[in-house]
Amino acid sequence: MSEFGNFCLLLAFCLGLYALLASVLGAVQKQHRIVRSAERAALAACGSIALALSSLVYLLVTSDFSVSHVASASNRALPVYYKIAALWGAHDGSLLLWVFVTSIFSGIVIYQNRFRYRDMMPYVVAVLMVNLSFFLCLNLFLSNPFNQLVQANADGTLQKFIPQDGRGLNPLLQYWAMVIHPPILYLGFIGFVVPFAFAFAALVTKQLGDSWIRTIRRWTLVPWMFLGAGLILGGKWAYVEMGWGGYWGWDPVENASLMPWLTGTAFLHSVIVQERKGMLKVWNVFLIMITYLLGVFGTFITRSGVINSVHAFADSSLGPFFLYYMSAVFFVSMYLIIDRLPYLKSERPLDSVLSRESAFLFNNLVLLVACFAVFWGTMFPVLSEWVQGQKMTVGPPFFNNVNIPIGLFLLFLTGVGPLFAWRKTSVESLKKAFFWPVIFSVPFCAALMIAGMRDFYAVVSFTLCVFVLITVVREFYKGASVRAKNTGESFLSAIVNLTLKNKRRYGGYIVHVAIVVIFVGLTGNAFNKEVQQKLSKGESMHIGRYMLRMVDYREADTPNYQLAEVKLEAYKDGKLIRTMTPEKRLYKAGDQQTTTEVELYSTPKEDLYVVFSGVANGGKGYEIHAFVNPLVFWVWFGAAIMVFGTLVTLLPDRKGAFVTPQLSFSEAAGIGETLRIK
Amino acid sequence: MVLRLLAGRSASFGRPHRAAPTFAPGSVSRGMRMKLRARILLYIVIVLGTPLSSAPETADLEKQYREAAAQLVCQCGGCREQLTVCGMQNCHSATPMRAEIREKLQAGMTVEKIVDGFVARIGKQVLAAPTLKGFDLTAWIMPIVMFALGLIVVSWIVVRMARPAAAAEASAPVIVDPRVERELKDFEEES
Repeated sequence: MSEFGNFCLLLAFCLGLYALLASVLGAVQKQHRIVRSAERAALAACGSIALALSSLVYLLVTSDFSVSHVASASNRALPVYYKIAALWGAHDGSLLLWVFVTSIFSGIVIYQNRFRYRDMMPYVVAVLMVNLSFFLCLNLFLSNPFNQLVQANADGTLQKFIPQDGRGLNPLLQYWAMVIHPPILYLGFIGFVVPFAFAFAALVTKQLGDSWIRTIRRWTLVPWMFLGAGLILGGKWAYVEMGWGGYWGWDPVENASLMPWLTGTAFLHSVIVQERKGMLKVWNVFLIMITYLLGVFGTFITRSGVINSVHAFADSSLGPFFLYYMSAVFFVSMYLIIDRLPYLKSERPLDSVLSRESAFLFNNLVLLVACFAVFWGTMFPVLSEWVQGQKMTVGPPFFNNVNIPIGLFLLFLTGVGPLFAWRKTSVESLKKAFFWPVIFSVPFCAALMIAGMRDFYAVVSFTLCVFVLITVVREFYKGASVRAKNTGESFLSAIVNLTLKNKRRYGGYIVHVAIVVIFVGLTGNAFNKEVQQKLSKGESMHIGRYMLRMVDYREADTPNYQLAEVKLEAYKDGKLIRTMTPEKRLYKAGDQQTTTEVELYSTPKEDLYVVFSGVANGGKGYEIHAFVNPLVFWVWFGAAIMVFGTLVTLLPDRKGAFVTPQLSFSEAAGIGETLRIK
Repeated sequence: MVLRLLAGRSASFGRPHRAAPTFAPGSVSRGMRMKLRARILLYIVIVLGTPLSSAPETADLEKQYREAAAQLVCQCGGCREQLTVCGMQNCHSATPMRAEIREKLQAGMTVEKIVDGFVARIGKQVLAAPTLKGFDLTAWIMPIVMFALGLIVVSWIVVRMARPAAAAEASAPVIVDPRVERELKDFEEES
């Protein structure tokens, strides 16, 4: 089976290269049949990768330890679902998953557009195949999951080696969010290759109008949504599995996935300006290139070992290839952008400094600065080592100090942006627009201060959350009340129909609400409480309104791990709420790693987070580390709203609407202007 | 069971005690050896990983402890995580560092002095964030510089792009058709 998998990978690589060459040749020679053959070869390559992935899954499920990946990432005692998840438990298999996800995206794009964009598609296929072939090449020649284990005999000959059992899946990865987090994150990371491919094709074919932008709208939203969901799932995993009471530690790998999300968010906003006003064309092409490259950069950081990280698969042999690839993509794209500058001129000027367009520009600026700050902090240890000869740590104190103010400014813009009208906003209308949000948020801020809240950032954050929420509620209220009046439908159905009629705008507002909700959750961090205490049986400890009483301690043995757990009764205001059993596990396979199994009592107001740290006082005491983390629930809930909001914007339009888009506002405004300036 | 014996006579939730296996040399299978090693490791992890000091501390001292521990990084050579985060229970670096912070805080030292003490002894690499001196300062300054530069560029673009429109509007007499205005407004509200 491993030979079959290897053959499929090799076949996919050859087909990918053929598709790349044939699509460019077909486009240059205008030979439709060659282009068609390239597309079919690309689809065949995708199928071949799916077969390779299936064979690795088969090898994992059947525990064939002659294969190096299976031996290093799985073991017999693992439940089947973790055996499958072991696919991304080591870097070679995870690279295959990466290639597979890439191939799914590429396959869908090629199939979906087999009759459309015929002049652009050969170049889209070419870019997709360059991307696919690059990763396939790494997967085949440098990090092959189908490699067989061998041992050297005394006479120097090599012989197949099959260990009794595998080294097992890293215990930290044995958690449900970790089973789905990497594939979802990959869908986000690599999905940006599609908009990039279209942007590149638009540059090559000089079709730099709105059509490529409209085509890729969904193809940008989908990876953006997956990347956001993947980020939060990663946070959920860290929260439950790492046992330090938090969910975001500014680890280089976390940063690597945050960066393309930030630039992707900037792109989602700035394309709206291009669609409506024909502006920011150069900027948009540049942004999508950067977003794609940051996705590749994230893979580079995770796999090259250039930066120290808890969950990076360090394999320094891959590093230089990523650098060559990223440089090549960057320089070729930059050359094309500069060469095509005349085609990228703005179609119309900005009407006013005070307008939605300029608000979008500032939103882009802040998002890019946030991305730069994360990039700079992540890479600073490398730079410092280069300049000062000393590798240093740039950890949460740096990122929090730099990014919290930027994040709050961004939250402010989330609220302010929609208050500006397109084209031109008068000071008078701004005053009107700001009235209700200010009326609600200023007294709220005062109330927080009177209630004794002294944390500056927390007060600002909560105030801004109210501000943004009121702007969004007002948008819905305004729209729905006009609609209800005009159509006679009830207010509630007016809200639903309004959203469905303009999914993009109101779906976007729902995402803004999600951002507010997530910020509420993040702000809770300012009020975290933590107590560490040794308890004997019958003793209790207090944290906030909670009391934990030590009841019992036990050990147990499972095929996969040994465990030691304490049984605690948790009381809230004197009332028993539940029995908690935080665990410590020692996994038997591989490096015999220990993990902490956190016990959580989660409410919308706060989480009681209990960790069993160990046995103390010669076995008579038990070390308990308890945290009360306010508002964490809202981070996960906000993420769910974000996915919902994005899905609303992704809902299909009525038939035909996609092909013949309605008159955009910029076009309507254009007609208006001609009538105006007579 | 080794673990149960070490943990005191507390026993488990009513499970019957099993006879302890004998570990005569040569009679131990590979699996049993692995099990034994696993148990010893678990013991080491659980017992030795626990901080030694157990004196109750005031909330203020605990706050200061967290403040200091968050500024310092575990020096085990692997994780490079803050002392508040490093979750390795038998960590040969984080555990004594944490104990030292608590000890010094109880002796009345300030957070700043404790952190400075670690830096003097171990070097800058013990800090969780760059300092505000020398080359390290660039870490803090660059995001601000980029923001300032970006602000200048974006403002310049906005003002420059807005000028021709404003000029055109100023030079041409604007005759506003109220019907068009109304329709534009409706359209904007709809879209």
